Amino acid sequence: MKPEPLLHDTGHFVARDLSDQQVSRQVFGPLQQFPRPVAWRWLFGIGIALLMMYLASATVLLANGVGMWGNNQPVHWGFGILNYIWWLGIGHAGTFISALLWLIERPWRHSLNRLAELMTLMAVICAALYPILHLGRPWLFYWTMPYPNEMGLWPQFKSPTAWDMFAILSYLSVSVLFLLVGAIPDFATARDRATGVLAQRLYGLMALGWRGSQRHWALWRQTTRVLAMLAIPLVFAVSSGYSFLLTMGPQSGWHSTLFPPYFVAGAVFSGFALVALLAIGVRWLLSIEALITRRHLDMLGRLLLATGWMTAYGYLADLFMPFYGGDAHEIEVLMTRLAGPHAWSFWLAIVCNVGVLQALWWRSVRQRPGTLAAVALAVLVGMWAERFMLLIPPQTRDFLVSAWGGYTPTLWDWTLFIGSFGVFLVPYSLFLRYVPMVSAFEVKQALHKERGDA
Amino acid sequence: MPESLGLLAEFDAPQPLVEASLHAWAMGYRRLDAFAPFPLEALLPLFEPRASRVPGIACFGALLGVALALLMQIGSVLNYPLNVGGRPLIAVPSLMVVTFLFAVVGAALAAVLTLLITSRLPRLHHPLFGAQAFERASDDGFFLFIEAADPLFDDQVTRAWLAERAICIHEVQP
Amino acid sequence: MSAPTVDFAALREHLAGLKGAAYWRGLEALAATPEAQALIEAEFPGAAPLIDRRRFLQLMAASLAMAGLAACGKTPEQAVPAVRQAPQLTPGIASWYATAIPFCGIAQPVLGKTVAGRPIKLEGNPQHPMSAGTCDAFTQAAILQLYDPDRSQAPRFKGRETSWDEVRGALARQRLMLDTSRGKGLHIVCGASSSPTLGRQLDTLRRRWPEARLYHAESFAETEALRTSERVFGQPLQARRYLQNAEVLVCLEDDPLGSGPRQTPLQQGWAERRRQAAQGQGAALSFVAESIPTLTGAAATHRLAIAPSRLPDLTLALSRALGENVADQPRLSARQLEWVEAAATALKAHPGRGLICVGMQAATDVQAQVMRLNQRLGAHGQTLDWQAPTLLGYERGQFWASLEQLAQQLAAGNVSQLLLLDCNPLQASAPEPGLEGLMQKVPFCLHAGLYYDESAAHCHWHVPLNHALDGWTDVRAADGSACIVQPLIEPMYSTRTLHQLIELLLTSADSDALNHVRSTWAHVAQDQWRQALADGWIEAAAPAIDAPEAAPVMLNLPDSEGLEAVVRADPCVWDGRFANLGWLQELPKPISTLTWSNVVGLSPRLAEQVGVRNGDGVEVALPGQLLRGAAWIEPGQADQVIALYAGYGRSHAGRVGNGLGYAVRPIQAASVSASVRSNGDRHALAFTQAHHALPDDETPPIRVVPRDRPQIAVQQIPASLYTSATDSGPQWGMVIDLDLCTGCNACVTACQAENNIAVVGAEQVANGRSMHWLRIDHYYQGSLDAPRSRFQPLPCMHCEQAPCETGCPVNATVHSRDGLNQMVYNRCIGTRTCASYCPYKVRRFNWLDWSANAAPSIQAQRNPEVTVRTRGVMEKCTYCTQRISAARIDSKQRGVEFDTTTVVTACQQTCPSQAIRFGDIADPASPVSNARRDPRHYRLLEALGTRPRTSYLARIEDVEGSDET
Repeated sequence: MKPEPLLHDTGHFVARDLSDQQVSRQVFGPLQQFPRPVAWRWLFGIGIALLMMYLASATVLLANGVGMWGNNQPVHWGFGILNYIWWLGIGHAGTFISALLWLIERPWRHSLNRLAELMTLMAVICAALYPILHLGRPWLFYWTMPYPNEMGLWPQFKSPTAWDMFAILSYLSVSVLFLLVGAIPDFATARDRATGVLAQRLYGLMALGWRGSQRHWALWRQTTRVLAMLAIPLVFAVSSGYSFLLTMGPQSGWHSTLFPPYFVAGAVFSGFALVALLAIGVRWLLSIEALITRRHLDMLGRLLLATGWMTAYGYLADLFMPFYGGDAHEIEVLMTRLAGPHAWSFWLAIVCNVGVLQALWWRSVRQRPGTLAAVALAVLVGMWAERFMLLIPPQTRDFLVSAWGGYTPTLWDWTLFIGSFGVFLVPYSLFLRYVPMVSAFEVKQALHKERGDA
Repeated sequence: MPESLGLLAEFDAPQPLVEASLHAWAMGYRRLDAFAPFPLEALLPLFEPRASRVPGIACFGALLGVALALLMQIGSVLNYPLNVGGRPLIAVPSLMVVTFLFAVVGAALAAVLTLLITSRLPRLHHPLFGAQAFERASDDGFFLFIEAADPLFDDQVTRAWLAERAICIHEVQP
Repeated sequence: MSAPTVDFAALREHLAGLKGAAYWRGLEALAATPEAQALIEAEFPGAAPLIDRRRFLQLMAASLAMAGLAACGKTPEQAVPAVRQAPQLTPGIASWYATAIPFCGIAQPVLGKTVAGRPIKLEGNPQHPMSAGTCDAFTQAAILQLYDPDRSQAPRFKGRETSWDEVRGALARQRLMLDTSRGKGLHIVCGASSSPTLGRQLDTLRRRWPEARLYHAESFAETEALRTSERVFGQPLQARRYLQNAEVLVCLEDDPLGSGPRQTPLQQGWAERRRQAAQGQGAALSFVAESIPTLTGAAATHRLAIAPSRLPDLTLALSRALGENVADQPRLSARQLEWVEAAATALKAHPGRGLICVGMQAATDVQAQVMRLNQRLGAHGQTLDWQAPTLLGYERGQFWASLEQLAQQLAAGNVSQLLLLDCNPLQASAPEPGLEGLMQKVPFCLHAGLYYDESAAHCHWHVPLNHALDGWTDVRAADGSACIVQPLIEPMYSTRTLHQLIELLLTSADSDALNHVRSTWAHVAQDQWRQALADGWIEAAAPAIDAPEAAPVMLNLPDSEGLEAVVRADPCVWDGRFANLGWLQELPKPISTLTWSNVVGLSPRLAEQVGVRNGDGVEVALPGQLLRGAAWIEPGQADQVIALYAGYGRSHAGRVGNGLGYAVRPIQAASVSASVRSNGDRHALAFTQAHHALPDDETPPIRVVPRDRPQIAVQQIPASLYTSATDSGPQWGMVIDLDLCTGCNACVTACQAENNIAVVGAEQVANGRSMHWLRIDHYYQGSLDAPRSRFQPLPCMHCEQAPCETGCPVNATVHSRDGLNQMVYNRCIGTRTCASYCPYKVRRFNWLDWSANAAPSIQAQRNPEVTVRTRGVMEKCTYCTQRISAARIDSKQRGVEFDTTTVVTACQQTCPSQAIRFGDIADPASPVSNARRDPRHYRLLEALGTRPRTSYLARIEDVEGSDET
């Protein structure tokens, strides 16, 4: 195949003359024969190892209790909530890419939405496990759900903790619907290209017997549009939802109306970082550089930069408000964030999310996979530090000086957190193998549109 | 030889398919359908006017969700009143989040259900799959299918008419 | 690691810079230097690697020998309940028995609550003036000692368990030898006791074996004061102090409010005085000169930090200022003289209403001079009177001998039989030639005690004694009245009372414990006896003896340069006898809030010289002792003084108390010269309050008002959108009077005993996971070297607009109609949202399973009316809701109007100064409503609009330092 130019100034960022067959070969080829089996085995192996680590830590935790973590009085919420917020935030980017860009008809999004939606799915699952493990009595987590019971008791709907449970569930269900509906036609293609009987059967099931009938397409488009319209406000609701977890308490440093938008920005920001990372990885692993081009990376870089600045604005406002409000304790808490024992988290967040980010002003940095990956990684670290900075220091500086304390995560905190990447990686690497990672039919459509023959 | 279900004409590009379909429609064929790996916008309103119902039904689903959420939240406190932090039993601001979430989920479910029911999916097998080369409909094939049941359908005429446009024509056996 | 030292200059400067009421907890947070930050880091929970992770399991671990006991106990038939009730015991219905807990030979009168034959809680005996219903932390914890699985459970010979028959045989053999030798070679060492029965038995023993010699072994007893009084008055006399009359209290190195056998009545008196002063009846001034910070010093209006060696000079100056004509000049600093002048002026201004107290370790001549001064001040009969000594140890004009004399006898080889009765002289014994070394040569050593302790380990024979709650005896209270100690439960193990043991020695007879006591009081008729058992005492307070004129004393004024060390009893485990009680080990020591260890207290200046910070290892050399401990910087301690605390470093205390802290042998003198140096170790210390400074522009949590204008600057409660939570029926509320709180910890222990609060161990405390529902916050205020101390008990606030309740997703914490913030344990799933939202951080979480693997005996102690919390649930103060329900049910059963004043919470009930008021705030006549109308009344963090039901009365300050100006 002839060397493609670096950038295509097409709406979909893909070579104009790409035929349907070529697209199909790129997308569905890996399902029959994986281009980089060795690399994949490594990826999967690492994933399994991390998953084992996760299971082991979870077992220890369930056997002994949350006391295995570093939490204490007054830091009742430690890694459990921290990583929950971090993972859930990451999830949001997937929804944004597939839903928002679909609505405003950006055809280049077709190369990215599938891998982003799959990321959302796994990130939300990683997040959802945390609040359960963080419970004192995890086996009773279902008490937060509404179901008729002999005690006649219901959840306490005034509690943001209860809202969160609903937020996760609805976000999970809507993301799954969006993902599945969007993937039906591709599963049909996979079905029709499959050679093995088993593969045919399985993809056939997933495809629900899709025939590509225009009557079906009409319904499909309407449904997808509706789902996209729903997904956007849902993202805002969910990320505000878990910001309420902090803002609804009287705690200085949490009790702020700034948090909901602040959290949305941060969430999408961290999400784009992971999408960029995954895009770079996927295009190499599946060697589909023709579909996920450098122009895509460039665009992701821009998005990262934009959302990064929104987050930075959040920092500014958060720094400004306590002094504007003039409440002594608010200022105390702020100073603790800046100069307290956990000041590293604040400054790490600033360095990564504001400092390193600026590299993305340079086109070359955005377009070179290595450099973009480096920045994205920095942003992921930075966003974790930010969540830490928002969550922990205020707890260590309570209203009564006598109740002030500190926080040091234990080994088990870390193993569970690092292990949670296994929870993400194992299914995701299986997706790479068995799910069409690019929305082929949409790419084809875009190509035909571009060529003006449809 | 059994009675065929209709004729399946294969095209090599979306454009001729669209033209053929529109023409056929204009001629008065109604029981026809076009198959392509992606939606052909020119045909959609023609073939499936019912698709426009989806948003409406979604709104209905949303309302259902709202009703359910309010019933659950208000009902639970009325059925088991507790003094929680000295707040009023029915604290309107605290109802918002869950209600909204229920609305979204309700709408989404309604939309997807409409899709499945109206399009009669899942239907894992269909006679068309029997037709040779039809598997390319999900990949790079473009097909026009005219049912034998169509009042205008006449094996000779329709076949001839299609032959002028399509690459090749297949009979679809039941 | 390079240990950064505290930048004291910066600290002083910082404090000097602060305006008005500068509240702070400790040193490090005061300096904003990176070093200081490093120190805070070092202090943060989690940074406690040196503490053994398994200890909390260990200390609660089941002892198999005890299995099965948990089920049920049995109350002895002869015991007589305090109040009339059904003759046969009804399961679930509590019965109360009046008895007493001897502590250092002084009775702590109590009522014991038993359910299904199990004693579960002790409370002060309201009938007895020396308790008036209240008691101290030690007495509250005595119930735990009864059930301590590490108590000695059987006689031992050379460490191996044996039978009482063996003991009887051995004693019989000794008796034959003693009868021939008329008791020559028999040496008996007794712990402090005031038991008339024991006295009677010892008399018989002495008549039979006149050559026998008796010794006195009590680390912190008042023998020195008695000797002095004998010198001054010609007969040994014991002082009874009435602080309620002492408008001016001068304490020289004395701590009447601190823990000790007389703490309860003294605190009551002190509180009564302050209560009257608050109502404008007389003054409540206290001048305290002390070397190390104590509760009395913390409560003082004028405190002076002074080395013990300066005490004679101070006394001299005071005598001079009070008009004594003394020749020599006191060598004192201007600041010290100023203090003396102030004290003298105050004393002279309140004739007959003043009292001077001097520490029992002070030199004899100082004590004598103080006795004279009190007499001249007309204190006698007013703030002080004298009674015959209640403690055994003085007979036929002479005192029992001391351990030093015993050592001589042992060295001379005159000892053939050595009995150690209810004492542990070897706990922290001297190096060679120490008692243990000398005892090797003695043919027959027998130890009798509650534990198989250090002394027992060095004796041939050990016999287990009964606990006060499962054996008969009698003991005298502080006022000389005699109390009968009646058992609440049949002996748990094969133990004997001391009386039975002596009988066994004299006659080999297996006697009945009750008979010994009964025959001491044979002259009392049976019905009176029953009445005495029901009331808790059998003989009223001893009559006062008017002391003869005391002659002036020539004080010898020692020169002092260099460091001096003082050894004090630990405020939580005393001399170590309570070392195995988890409740007391985990009880934060007043002021330092340290738990689970003792420390070497240094003044900031001294620490600066030695170059150590909190937790650094130091080596202290005393005459004949060398000890290594953790340094602790105590603001307000005299500069040249090293504070040492006895009761730790034990090897035979039990699983809880072994191997904690360092051992130090108590010294009789006021102080000894010593030296200290850093030895580079690092100790992890577990304390409950981290060290931080309150931002000086925030409203301090503890409000202080001047005596002349006792009013809180009014603070606006933010208007609330919500209707008040008040509902029909009683509305519970609590008011804590900070003017009366001494920070003595009695309430904390009472709460722990009442509510089955778990002990979690040093590591968990260091992790910030202590479980106390009621904590006592302590803050310093003012300068680094002479700070004031402020205490604030902090239970749940039971907010009407409780943030915690809105946080809970499962309705596990909700508000009751009567205004309680309820915790529903079995509904709690442990999201900890409530605790995150609690502005007062009074909620406690079961991070691990604290209670499951407690010893069966410990489980037997638990209050059946309070749920034992499992792992993963939140808990907190409930206002003793079980007591509220009990009272309500009782009133229902008796068909009478619910009298809310009958509800008394555990903390309120035990508080010796009755600083806590609890009741129905909806009833305008209730005491708590009155308190809420007091101009000193304020709520904590009022601005948050949580509407707390627990509120405070501001502390009244006589001198500068109040912040409401």
